[in-house]
Amino acid sequence: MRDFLKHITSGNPRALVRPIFWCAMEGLNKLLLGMFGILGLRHLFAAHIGGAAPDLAFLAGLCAGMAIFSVLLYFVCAKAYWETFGAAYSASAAGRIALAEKLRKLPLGNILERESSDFANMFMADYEMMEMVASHLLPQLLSAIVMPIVAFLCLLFVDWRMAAAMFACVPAALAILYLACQVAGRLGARHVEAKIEVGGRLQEYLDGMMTLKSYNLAGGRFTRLERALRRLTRESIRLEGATGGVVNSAICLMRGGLSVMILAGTYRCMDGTLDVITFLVFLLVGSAVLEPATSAFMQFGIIRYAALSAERIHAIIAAPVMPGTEPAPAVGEAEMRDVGFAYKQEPVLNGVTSSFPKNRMIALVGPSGSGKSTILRLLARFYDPQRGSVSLGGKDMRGLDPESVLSHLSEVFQENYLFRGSIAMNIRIGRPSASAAEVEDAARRACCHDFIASLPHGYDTMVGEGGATLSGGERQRVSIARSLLKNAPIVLLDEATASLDPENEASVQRAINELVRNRTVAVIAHKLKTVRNADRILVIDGGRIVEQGKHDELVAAKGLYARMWNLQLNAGGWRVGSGTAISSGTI
Amino acid sequence: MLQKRANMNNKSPLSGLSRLLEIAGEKRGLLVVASLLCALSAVALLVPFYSVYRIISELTAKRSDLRMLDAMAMTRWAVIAFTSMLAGIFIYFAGLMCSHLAAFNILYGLRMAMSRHLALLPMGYFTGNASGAVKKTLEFNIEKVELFVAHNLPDIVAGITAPVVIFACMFSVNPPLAAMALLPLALGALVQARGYGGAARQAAYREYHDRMEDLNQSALEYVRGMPIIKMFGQTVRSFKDFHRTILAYQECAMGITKSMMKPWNLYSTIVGSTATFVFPAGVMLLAGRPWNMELALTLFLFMLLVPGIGAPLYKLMALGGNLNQIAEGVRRLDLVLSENPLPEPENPKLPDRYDITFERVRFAYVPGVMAIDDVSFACPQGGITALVGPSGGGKSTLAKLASRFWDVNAGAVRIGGVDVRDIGSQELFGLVSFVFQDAFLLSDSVYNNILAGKPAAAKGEAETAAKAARCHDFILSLPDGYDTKIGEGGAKLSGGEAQRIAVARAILKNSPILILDEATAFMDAENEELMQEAISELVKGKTVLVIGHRLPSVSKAGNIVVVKQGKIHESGTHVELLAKRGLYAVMWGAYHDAGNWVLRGADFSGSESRRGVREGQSR
Repeated sequence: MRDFLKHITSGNPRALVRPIFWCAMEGLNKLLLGMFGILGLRHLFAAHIGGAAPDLAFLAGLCAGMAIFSVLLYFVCAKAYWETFGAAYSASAAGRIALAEKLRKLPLGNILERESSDFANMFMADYEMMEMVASHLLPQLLSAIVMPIVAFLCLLFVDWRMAAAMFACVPAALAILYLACQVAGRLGARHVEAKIEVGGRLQEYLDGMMTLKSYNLAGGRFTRLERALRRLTRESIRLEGATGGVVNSAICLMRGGLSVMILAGTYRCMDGTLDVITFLVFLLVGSAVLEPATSAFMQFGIIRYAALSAERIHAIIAAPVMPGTEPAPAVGEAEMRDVGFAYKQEPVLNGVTSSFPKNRMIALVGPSGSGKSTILRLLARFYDPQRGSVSLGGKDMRGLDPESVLSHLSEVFQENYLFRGSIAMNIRIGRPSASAAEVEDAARRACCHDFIASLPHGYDTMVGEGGATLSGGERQRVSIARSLLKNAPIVLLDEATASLDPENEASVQRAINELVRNRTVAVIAHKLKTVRNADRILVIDGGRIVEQGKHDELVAAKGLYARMWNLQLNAGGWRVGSGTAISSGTI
Repeated sequence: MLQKRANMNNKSPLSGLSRLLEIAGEKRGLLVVASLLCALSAVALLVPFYSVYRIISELTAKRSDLRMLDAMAMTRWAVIAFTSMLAGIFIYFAGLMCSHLAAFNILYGLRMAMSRHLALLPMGYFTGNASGAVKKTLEFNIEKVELFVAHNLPDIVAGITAPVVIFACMFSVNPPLAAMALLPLALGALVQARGYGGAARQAAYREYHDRMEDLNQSALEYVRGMPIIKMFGQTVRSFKDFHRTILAYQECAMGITKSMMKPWNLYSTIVGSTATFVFPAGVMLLAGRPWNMELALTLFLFMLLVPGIGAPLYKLMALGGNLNQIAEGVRRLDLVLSENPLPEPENPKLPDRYDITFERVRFAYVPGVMAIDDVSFACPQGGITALVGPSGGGKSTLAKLASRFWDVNAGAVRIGGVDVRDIGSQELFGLVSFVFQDAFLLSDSVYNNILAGKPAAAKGEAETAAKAARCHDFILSLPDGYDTKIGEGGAKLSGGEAQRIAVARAILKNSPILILDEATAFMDAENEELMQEAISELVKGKTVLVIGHRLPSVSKAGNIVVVKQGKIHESGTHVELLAKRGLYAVMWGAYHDAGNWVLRGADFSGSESRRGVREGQSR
């Protein structure tokens, strides 16, 4: 519960003190309003039973009191409303900001591992849920708890035995409610599983639509989706039925106290140990006091959903950030020493040692899955290695500020993200202080000036979210221009990014050659020809460096590299029509 | 039929709801039962109040000598109070279960109806950006329906029934007092109507939605752009932008909250103070005849019932937002449903030969911008035809028109002389196999992935296909061989391995026509060799249409069609095209330059590489 409060207030439960105080005042005000009514009725019946005429002046006074408290209620309500909504919205704003701040500091690897829509969902849906709970549910829950407790304490002084009878079943009801939480927890986990399954199947269905249709497996024949949906329906009903049943039983038990109290009162009245007026007061209070608690219990399901949202966010907030504060040295050299690294238990690198000397090109080659890209990621400090060390300019990266490490690197990503805004703005991200002439110069060197100039508004052309209006090759050259402007001493590169269609390929290649000139380069190569001039080629297999050296040395060594080189020399991509059974063009 | 109503406006939530039922193919039955049960429960939950009233009556009647109390009657009323409360709550639960059942059925029905509809849409629909939005609709917008149908609907019924029954009782007992009890409700309604209407508030709501959309957009951009943001040391700036958006949303939300403060609190104060209206009225009535016990009891009953009026109404108040979400959900569902499926032929024909001809084909994605402009060519049965040309020139579009991703705007695509529009879509897909750039695999076992090509095939056939596609060996090296689960939570395959499994699937399917998208550049050398062998197996004896990116891959094709700006620029064999010295010859030259690309490191002097760039640009 305390964790829950902490999560929904973004770590500041004290923000709830004022709203809770005012909600309690609102409840108290309503209680007093009710008290006037009870006092009036009590007086009325006491007069009747005593055989005297009711004191009209007293009753008029009570009426005036009710009117005053009703007016007061408006102001208290308004205050409570303002405080709760204010607290809810500032808590969610603070929470969103804290989450954004946290994302900024998380290892980049952790961010790339997850769907970006996951995080976006947290910012939106999860915090909306928190707003709702803090503004609506919490005050309601509070008055549902406080009112009966206050009433119980007051009634204890009036007649403790009757009060005990009325609240006799509450402990049992609470025990059952606890049970409901357990049940909901277990079934809830299965429900979430079923939901994730549906999400996965939907994604699969939509992603694979072309294939599925071409194999006539779409629509009704994609039974995997239907099965997942059926399972979700079943789990939803099970969850709702089981928790609903238990919660409702608790409510019944709790409210059964009224009947117990009636029976007790009846017999005690007959014994003469209880007077009618006291019984009357108990009857009045007893019929109304548990009403708010009933409504609050019915919101059980929503509170549970909110708790899930809170947990999701908490998991991110609690994730460890990368250590290190020292600014990275602006030296273009890096070194890996006996590096071991595993993604979630799965070992990827095992004892990699290599230096990346200033202005030299180191190429990484090897079968897919051998660990080449992990080496690049570790050089950019997307992750810290579990064993050994990666250092930049002789300093262990773990002591360096992660952002400052990145400021000395340029990477040509597979995905070239462009922000909403003009092309000039997107290039200028490389160096915000750059002049228009410098931006244009970078664009020229990245071979994208010509196509930018041909756009309707030139450099001021707006590109959409993700840069959707440009082709892949164009996006890539814009992002290379950005890197050229940044002018970082180390360049990390995956050659695969240069494999676009022929014309674009040539332009991208020219742009990349411009980027790597006179810089320290680590490049993953698929076409070995591309890197035959590298200063050193590391042949990676199974997370280790199995061979290294210059191209000629490696070919002469007749190892894995030589085998790959020969294969590529002969194959160079697959062909159709060569060596197949049919002769081209015949019918 | 579903599409016809798609464009109709769904102004009221109930017509939105009936539209949902219609799409989901769900009957009203369960919802009617749920509503009846909820109404019944609302009545049952009033019985305890009546029991208390009867007990008080008994107490006051026997006030002179309490030993005369009718213990049997008192016990009976206590039991009635308990059982009616029990019944009320469990009937409510039963009603809620019905409404949940209906809700989950509707959710299921909507998702199934949508996914079936999606299967009928032109393939082209999925090549755009639509699938992300569709997934969001299918997952989240549909889910919002649950809250409304399962909780809000019963609450509305109960929220209306309880006050109606209470007022009916009150009016039958004492009309003037009942009128006083009704007064605050009427006042409250007036305050509501004045407070929540108005153009200014509509505008405020619109602004709120805009702010929210901004926040959503910025959140996505912040997360997606994070690698770049970090790389370029922009986290502070970008964080500040996002920070601003968050605060703008908060400010806007608080503005709306403030503007609603007065009407909402006035309403809740007035309705919460019903006793303040009823009690003085009762006292006034009593002032005339102070000895009237009956009247005192009536006042007692009224004071008991009064809180029961306000509570359900609060629930109704909280509904507004959910109703909007239903309307929004229906709108988004209809957006997808209004996409027209490709028409199925009335008298489907089956071709008996498998050559493909394009006859004066014109096609535009957006009206007015011709993607394919008057293209005619033929792919002979059993031969290989390659489409090459600059990106965006139309080669992929042509390949996709052959398998009716879209229908042509003019002209015709024929298979064996039969217009593809006259072939049933299932039969058409039976004739054509694709191997796309990114192989799509199900998260299922390797077996099932291959068997998708021919679900009736025996496991032995799947293995034969796998051997032909050169993936048998690596499959055996997987932890569970052919039964290894791949995809989410299973084994990860390299791009080349996934592609060869896709080829095995196509080999098993053994359709007479094959459409290939040649792009294996991402694979490493060893995989390329195996892929070559797999593809050679696959194309044996088939009519092949291949989209060529790397010219050497298709240089042996029987016919090479060079497509540029939606038109056929030239065509012929490799030798013929080179002799023409046209676009193909230029591309061939450019390709070879690109293929000989060597990364220049520091070994090369800057001036040399700079010269290279200038030459490239002047060309």
